[in-house]
Amino acid sequence: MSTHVRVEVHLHADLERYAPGARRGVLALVLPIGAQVGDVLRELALPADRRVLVGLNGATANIEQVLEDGARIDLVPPIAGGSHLEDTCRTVTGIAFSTSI
Amino acid sequence: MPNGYWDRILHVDLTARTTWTESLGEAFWRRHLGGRSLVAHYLLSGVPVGADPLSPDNLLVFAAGVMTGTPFPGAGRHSVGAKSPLTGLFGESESGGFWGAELRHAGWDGIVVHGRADAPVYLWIQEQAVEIKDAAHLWGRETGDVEDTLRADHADRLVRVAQCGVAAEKGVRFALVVNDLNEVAGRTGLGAVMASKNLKAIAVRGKQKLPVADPVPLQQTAKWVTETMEDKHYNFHHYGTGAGIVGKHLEGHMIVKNFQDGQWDPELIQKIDAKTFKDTYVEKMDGCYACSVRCKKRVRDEAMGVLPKYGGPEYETIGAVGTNLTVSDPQIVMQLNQRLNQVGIDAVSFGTTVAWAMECFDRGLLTTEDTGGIELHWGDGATVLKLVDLVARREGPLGDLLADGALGASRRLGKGTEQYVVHVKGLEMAMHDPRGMRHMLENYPLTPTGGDHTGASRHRTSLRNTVGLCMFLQYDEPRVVDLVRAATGWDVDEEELRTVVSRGLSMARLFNLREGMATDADRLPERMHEPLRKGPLSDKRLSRDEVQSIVNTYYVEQGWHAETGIPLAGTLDALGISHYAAYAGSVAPPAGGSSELPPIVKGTPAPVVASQSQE
Repeated sequence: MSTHVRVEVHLHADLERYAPGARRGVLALVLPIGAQVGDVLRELALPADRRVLVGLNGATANIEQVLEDGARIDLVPPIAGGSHLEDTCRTVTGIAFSTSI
Repeated sequence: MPNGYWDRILHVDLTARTTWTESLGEAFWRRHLGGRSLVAHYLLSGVPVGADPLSPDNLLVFAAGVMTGTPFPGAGRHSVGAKSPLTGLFGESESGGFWGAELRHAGWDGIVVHGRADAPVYLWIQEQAVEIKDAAHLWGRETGDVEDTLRADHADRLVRVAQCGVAAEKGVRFALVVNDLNEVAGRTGLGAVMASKNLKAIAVRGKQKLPVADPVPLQQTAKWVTETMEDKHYNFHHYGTGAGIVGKHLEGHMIVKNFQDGQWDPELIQKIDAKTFKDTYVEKMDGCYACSVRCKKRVRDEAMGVLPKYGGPEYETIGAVGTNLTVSDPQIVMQLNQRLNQVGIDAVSFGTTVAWAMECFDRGLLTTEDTGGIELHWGDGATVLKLVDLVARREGPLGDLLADGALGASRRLGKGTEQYVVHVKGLEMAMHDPRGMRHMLENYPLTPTGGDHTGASRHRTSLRNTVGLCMFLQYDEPRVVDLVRAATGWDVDEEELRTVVSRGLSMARLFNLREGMATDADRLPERMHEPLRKGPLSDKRLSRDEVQSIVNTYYVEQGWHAETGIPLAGTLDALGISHYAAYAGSVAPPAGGSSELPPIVKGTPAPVVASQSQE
């Protein structure tokens, strides 16, 4: 029985800087069974003050969600393309996004 | 003449085929700085009330800002303005590239085009020599051809060309003005105004250096941008715009199916994110005049005939003709971007108008009898591509219908289809959803041009649009003050710049009111008060009360009447623009306002005005 899960992490836009060895911002991580979304963020050592949107298999994730083998994680900075203004409805790295509208 | 300016506006009367130069004087420039404020000055004082936007009575204004053409990143922007044929209101759009800087290097701060030529013409501006030349050989030709021909005709590959496309020639109401083939004054149908004057292009060549008071801060700023590129401008520099689509989708407010859904298929979204374009099709990133950020994608796809000279899909295009229509093929999105640039059509208005049509087709309100047999289905990229050309030529019942824009088309079609038009003041809403973005809630109802996403009702963007600076550059307000000081030598401060912005907004407001804009046009479309059908925001509702409160608070901030939004007489007096009231038709600025500068200028918070409605 496998003791680990393999997940694919996609770092979007400037977040790709936090995985310099990854090809096109995509890297594979192998984590112990039971690992959660938050463990991915800790593994990548993203700065605590970076605001990040976290997706798990295409849906917004919360950091306690347990990862299954083959999961896809997207880490995206909140950019409003075409509008320079930063949104105010974000939270800090690792905490699931929720809108304040 | 003052530093930072030539103090020369080129006036061209195409009816009489004459040109003359206007000097506005240092006091004027210090009060208005340029860009949008220059547009507002000419539209208020030079366009008769109620003028048909496609008649010779309209003016077409090309307005540089004080920074345009000074050598540092972001100083390549210019404004274009006219009474809009799409909305009947204040039409304004900003463009980048090189043309605006070239105009300034030719010794001009702006161009005002009057009347209508009796046959197609173009302007040839070589330094201060101006000629009105025959354009019969250019009329009916696409943008790439026109630019190549003008450069060959004048034996100079560095001639910069601003032009209207074949769609403008057919009076497509959202036809744009494009310069450098890929930089557009996209919104409000300014290209249609240009073509209505039989003006096909303005070709410019100039080599003069703008006089600035102190070049050192400009040089230091250029150095700062380069040194901090990875920190401050990483995303623009590497991806252009569109790198946030996956994020907006995760959050549930990507634009899908005419603003009905906030989400789509996450795998399909990935296919047209900027990252995919960058990884697969971008040949290089390119930039505007003097800018090291270089945020413009240039894509190549040999198989599809997609050429780098037309740029590449940026965020608004990916949204408007990609996610909004659920077209997920990146090759089709690239072809759409190219085709729209080749015929000169605004991607946002085109995409949102087609989305309206697709929704109406879904609902059985637009039928194949109305469309001449064409079926409209979400995701059918091949048909969308065909529609670009049908609209550009106003061909067939559907091409002709959609060429009027979504609101105009809905009024022609009837059957209650107007309720599905997602617009503000007649300008279709851009690819940012107020249900997911707080600052869009504050922006869309109040921007003078309508459903324009650039935040042009607020100070930051308004200032950039006035001084000719790109809003992507992460300059803070103190730096912008320093830059204006460095260019002009004037001892300006932040309050003075806020005053300039407030003037421009009040002038645009007067224009809109005199052209018949109702006060209740300051609102969001009905669709925004419906919840999104899909995604994590589908339980959120935007209240009309909240929007109304934002609107009324803004009125007070700007020194306008708290209920009607008409600029108060005291405000106009304090801003030094009372004389524009004479051009405001039957709009009478209410007495009141304390002859003090409005709260937004003084930096004093306006009291939040609660809505009085029963909702």
